Amino acid sequence: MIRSLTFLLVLLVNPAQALEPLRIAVAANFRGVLEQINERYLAQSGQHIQLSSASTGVLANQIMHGAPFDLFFSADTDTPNKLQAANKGLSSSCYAMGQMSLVGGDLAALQKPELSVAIANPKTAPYGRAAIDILSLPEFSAIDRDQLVRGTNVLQAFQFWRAGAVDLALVARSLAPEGYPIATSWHRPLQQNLLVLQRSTAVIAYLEWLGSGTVRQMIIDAGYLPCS
Amino acid sequence: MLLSPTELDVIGLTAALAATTTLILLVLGTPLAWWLAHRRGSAAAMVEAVVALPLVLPPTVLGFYLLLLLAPSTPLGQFWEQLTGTRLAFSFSALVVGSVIYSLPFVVQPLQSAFQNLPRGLLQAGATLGATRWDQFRSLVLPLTRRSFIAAASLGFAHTVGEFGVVLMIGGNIPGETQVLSIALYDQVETLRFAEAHRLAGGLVVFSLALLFLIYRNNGPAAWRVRI
Repeated sequence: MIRSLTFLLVLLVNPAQALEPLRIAVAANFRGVLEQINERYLAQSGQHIQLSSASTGVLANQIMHGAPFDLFFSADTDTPNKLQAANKGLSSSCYAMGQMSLVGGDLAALQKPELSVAIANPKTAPYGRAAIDILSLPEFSAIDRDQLVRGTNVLQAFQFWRAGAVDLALVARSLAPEGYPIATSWHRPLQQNLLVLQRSTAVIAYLEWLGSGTVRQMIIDAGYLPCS
Repeated sequence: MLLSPTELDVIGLTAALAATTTLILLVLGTPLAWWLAHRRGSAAAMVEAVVALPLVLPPTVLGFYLLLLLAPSTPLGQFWEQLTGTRLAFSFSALVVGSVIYSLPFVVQPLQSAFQNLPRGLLQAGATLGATRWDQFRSLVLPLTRRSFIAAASLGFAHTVGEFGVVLMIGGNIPGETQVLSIALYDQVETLRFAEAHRLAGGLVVFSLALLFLIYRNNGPAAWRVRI
């Protein structure tokens, strides 16, 4: 008891330890790599970070209604723009370009109407819209678009496939680096923007870390393309 | 008309799911409730506990296991495919399976307490007068517990309409197949279409309130007790 009280006291007095955690909202597709990025950052700066992940639409809705995030890693550019237009953000910039993967088979499998396909919900998730772009190509006209299984976000679409509940899934390459890579020219660009919601010294230091070569390489290794 | 064709489809699908589920639950739940009302001991307590599980478990637990259980690779999934020629996962039938489990206690428990409160002598008197078991059930049990049957059916129906977590996890948001009211509403809120969301959400509040009001008015304070 006394020991934990002393510990608490040290925490309160020591300014280096008393850093407020950064609160970051992240689109489902980027969560995995952001966790790695943050882990490294914690090791070198001592800065704790709380991650909340969901689909871009859900997070935008929460931010619109006052969710206390410092940064928002969106999966598109429209959503940060809209938030900014509603005075909910300070600045928006590209942090990665997304790519798509097909898991569970190759392009020949995607032409078979009897196989079930999971995608992210195109109404709310940019990766779902990219998946619809791909399936709208004449090669895949056999697929009944009404029968697509829709996950609430790209992670759930991937999870449906992992659970064995669907045959194929069109997901972010970051989730499935082993999947069949799909050319970026087959779908609209998946530019992902970062929206700064609060500016503080901790946020500025973190943004500097994000711009570093180490982080850029981590993002590319995770299956993204650099911003053009 | 206040509602769009898509919204009417969604409401129709939800009503069909709730009605199918309620019907199945009445057929399965009546003998189960009867058995539970007349057995004592560890086996009965165990069955009773299993029936009550959906009351306490988060729907995500049920959704998770159902997702794995209904997949095409499982014995159940394969059996279904051989029987019907269609996939079970992400189908209307899969939602019926999930809903039957999810709403089971809401039908079984009112029936069980109604059966427990039946005067024992009455059935014995019926038997001595030569009534078969079916006669006893039809001309004694059913009229005496009619109100409880109505309450059980209404609760099963309403609870299925109100289902969200399980459908979110095993539905796949397929329009006309698994996109029920709660999921359509979730989509509308995510895409910030609040006017449409208000129509569905408000309609659901009014409907549920009206249904519960009717149940409670019909039963009075002795909700699930038998009146003689």
